[in-house]
Amino acid sequence: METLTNLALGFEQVLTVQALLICLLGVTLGTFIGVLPGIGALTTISLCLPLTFHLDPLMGLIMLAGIFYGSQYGGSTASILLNVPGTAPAAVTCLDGYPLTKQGRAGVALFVTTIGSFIGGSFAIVLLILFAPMLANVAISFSAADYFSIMLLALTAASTLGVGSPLKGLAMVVFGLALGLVGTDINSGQFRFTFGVPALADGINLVALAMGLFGVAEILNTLVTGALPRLESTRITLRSMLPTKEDWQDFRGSCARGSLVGSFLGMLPGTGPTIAAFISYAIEKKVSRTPEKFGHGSIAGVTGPETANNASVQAAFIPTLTLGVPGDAIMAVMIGGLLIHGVTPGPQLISDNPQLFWGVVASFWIGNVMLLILNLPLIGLWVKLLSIPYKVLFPAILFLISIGVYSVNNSTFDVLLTFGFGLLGFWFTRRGFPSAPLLLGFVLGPLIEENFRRALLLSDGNLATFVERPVSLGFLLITLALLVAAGLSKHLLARKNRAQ
Amino acid sequence: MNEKLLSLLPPFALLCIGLGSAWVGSGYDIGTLTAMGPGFLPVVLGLCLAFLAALLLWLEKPADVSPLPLRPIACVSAGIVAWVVLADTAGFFPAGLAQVLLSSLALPGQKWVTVAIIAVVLNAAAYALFVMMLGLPLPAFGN
Amino acid sequence: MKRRNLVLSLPMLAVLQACGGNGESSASAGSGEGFPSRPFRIIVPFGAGGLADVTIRLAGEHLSVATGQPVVIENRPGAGGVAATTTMLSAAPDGYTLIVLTNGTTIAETQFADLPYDITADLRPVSALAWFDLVLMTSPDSGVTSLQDLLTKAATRPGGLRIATINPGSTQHLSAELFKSKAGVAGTVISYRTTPDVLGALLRGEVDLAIEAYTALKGAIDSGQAVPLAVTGEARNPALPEVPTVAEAGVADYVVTGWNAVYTNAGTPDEVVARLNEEIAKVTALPEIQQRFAELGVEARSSTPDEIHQRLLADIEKWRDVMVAANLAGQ
Repeated sequence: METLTNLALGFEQVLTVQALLICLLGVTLGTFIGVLPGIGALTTISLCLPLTFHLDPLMGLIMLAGIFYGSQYGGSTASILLNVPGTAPAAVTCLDGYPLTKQGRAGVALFVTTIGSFIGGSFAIVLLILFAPMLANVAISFSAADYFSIMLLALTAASTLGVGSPLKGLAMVVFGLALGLVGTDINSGQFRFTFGVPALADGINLVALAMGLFGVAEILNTLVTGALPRLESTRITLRSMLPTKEDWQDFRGSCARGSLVGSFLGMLPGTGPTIAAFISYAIEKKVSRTPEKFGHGSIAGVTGPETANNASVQAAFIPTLTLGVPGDAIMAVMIGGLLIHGVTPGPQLISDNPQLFWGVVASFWIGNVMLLILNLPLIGLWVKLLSIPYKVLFPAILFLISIGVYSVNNSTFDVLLTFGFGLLGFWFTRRGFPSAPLLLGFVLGPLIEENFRRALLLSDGNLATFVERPVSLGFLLITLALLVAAGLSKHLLARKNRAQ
Repeated sequence: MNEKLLSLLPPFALLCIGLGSAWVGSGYDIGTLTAMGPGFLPVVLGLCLAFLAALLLWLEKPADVSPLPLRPIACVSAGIVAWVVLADTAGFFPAGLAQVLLSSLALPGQKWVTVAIIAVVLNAAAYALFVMMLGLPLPAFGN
Repeated sequence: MKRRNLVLSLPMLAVLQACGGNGESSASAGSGEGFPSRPFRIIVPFGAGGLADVTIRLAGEHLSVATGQPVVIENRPGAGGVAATTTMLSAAPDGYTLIVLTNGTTIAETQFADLPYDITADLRPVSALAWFDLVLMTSPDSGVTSLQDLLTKAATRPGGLRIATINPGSTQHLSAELFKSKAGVAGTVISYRTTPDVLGALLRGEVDLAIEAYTALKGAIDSGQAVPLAVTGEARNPALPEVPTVAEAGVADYVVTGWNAVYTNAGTPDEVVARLNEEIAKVTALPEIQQRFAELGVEARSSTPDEIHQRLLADIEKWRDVMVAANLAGQ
């Protein structure tokens, strides 16, 4: 009952013309910069932050939050249509989204990602409304050892990510882990592999890596093979967008799992939508009855990650708003925006500033509904993009990648890096070395190392810390079970083959 | 023959990167498993990578690689490098126009009037969004 | 992560000029004839939303009103402020481009072996802007209520004191190293990636002590998530009048004060620097700025160019010693 009263208070704050317009502005801008390769939510929010200084804190937060979750809706569009991810988490969507487009099912793919995004976001909002303070306390209780075990599980589960030679996939994971080492070692302050380049002291830019490996590499590949996508841009009827009965079956399960996985990882400070998308993909492939379809246009391989990344960004608000502990860098920028208004996020925010808290929560609902209404009609428009001749399209994409990557750090070095990774990804992919495991290793590696070393510092060098903490022990056991199961199935397969 | 060797380039590159990582990493403090220094993982991961790459080199059969058309790669490269160089020295528009025009050369049979119009419209739109709306610090012309 | 924006929009400026309320006409009688006649650009070596960013934005807004010129804030974050300083040095030495230097700048001098510039010679000081101290805090569950308690307790534990701070090479991290040596206590400084991670460590009770700027953890302190034991400034923090300084709490000779200062190019004319210094002094003295800064746990105070430069030079030495002792120098 109290929750309803609170929600009513929230809606009272945001059902004004100004609030609705600001929310619409935020989510529209978010969708748009999500679609554009390179420029993402973090950049846009940093750029827009000063604009909000002259707004009421609630309005400012509504707009910035709208950009954040709006960008997750847009991020997958270019992944699906062109194999060029709009944002780093959307790189996962390339794996199955683009094959769907090649099968002429782009409309369906965009439809399920939009619906999945909405469900994932809504699920996390419900959690935020009902259980925020409790969940935030659970999330914050995870310590370094727990993080290490969770990330180890993620790495193990996702080792099956690629298509083709497992050995090549594994080599790329290790290569990714090694690339993640570049920059300042967080435990000791040592610069590693920076070779005197100050731009590398903060590590390799994730956006540059993702845009190079997926965007630039894909364009080079298309140009070189001459297999220019010539997709019939037939009329986009509602029917051609609607999933089949089988699609719905895939969709339901993956959506539920994606919502759970995304919400869980989103709540944990330090893990963002990219990790959520990867892990969701790995889970979908593991539980699927048709794992062989993954990488060749599986609906679950698109909806799972897309649901997860939306749930994750929405769930990131749980620790941010209830404890003042932002889940990631974007949340930290938003908190900066509140600070300048003299609003300090923390445990007392809900009681001291109920209009702000519940107003923002209410705006999430409104924003997600707006995004649904905005994105469904856009599907037809996006698919029409494919009717633009490729020779016109690709220079434009390359240009947008340059400026988008530049905008992250105002760094031309990052643009060069993107190009380098583009050449690398192009050549490696041709030889059957998949790019996705590299990206995964890169994202998880620093977290695994950092938390392993921190856990041992905290336990005075006692390895037992990893099995003494129940959460850590639980995740380690699951990891072990996964490895045993993989070994067993290989063994059984070998026996079956011998028997034949 | 050269092309066959070229097909072994990825595992060979990984082998070099692995060994390089281990070598550079050994220059940092290595520590022990329970008290890792910053050099521990570079060495361990480097050796793992080198081992996997060596295995791949051994297993991988040098395959025939059909000669790659160099034109698209050269044009795309020239476009990006031009953007990088010009963005720092000549400003937003020279960089953007140069990139669109140069990369357009990657495919034969471009209609140059169309390309020029697209380059200008695209640059103007991007300038409005990135520089005027979002305030990206890149001057239109000049440094 | 950076952007540039007009702190004061052009229409607002037009209104101000129409009201005759801008400083340009009144000041042109003094030194620096005709200055300023175009917008200022202030480069901040951090991302939006941080302490340095927030303070310069507040000050920039008033600087804009006082001078009648828009003030554009440009964030150029990145390792050691290299990107920001390089941008600064590529601007003309006319006083229209300014840069915010901080305590962190003095650390970067030692941290980065070969910087492509010499900040002590290539830049010219204008004025200090803000001063702040750090807070030593513990978790309410620790049962510790004073710094002496904490030190006594740490002495009995084999691993010694565990201190959480943000990343290595930060002011917080070096302050922790300095604290260990001044207090003569054994222990480990455990680095976390962000301030919220530091707070998390404190909430979980996995560390004995966290050192962080008051602003960053104001919410946690106000709500009792973190218990302040001492402040690192020379005097008590007005926002925490009950909390002693580290020296009062019994650790002699330990003072850490962070600062933000405005610098410009070395070749900038004297009269332009003098005029800028005068304007910043006026802005920091404004009651509104004093109050807004105080809410952030920061003291707004200007200085002469020489004062802040001496401070910068002294801090370079101070942190170099700490870094050499903690084996963090010159990579």
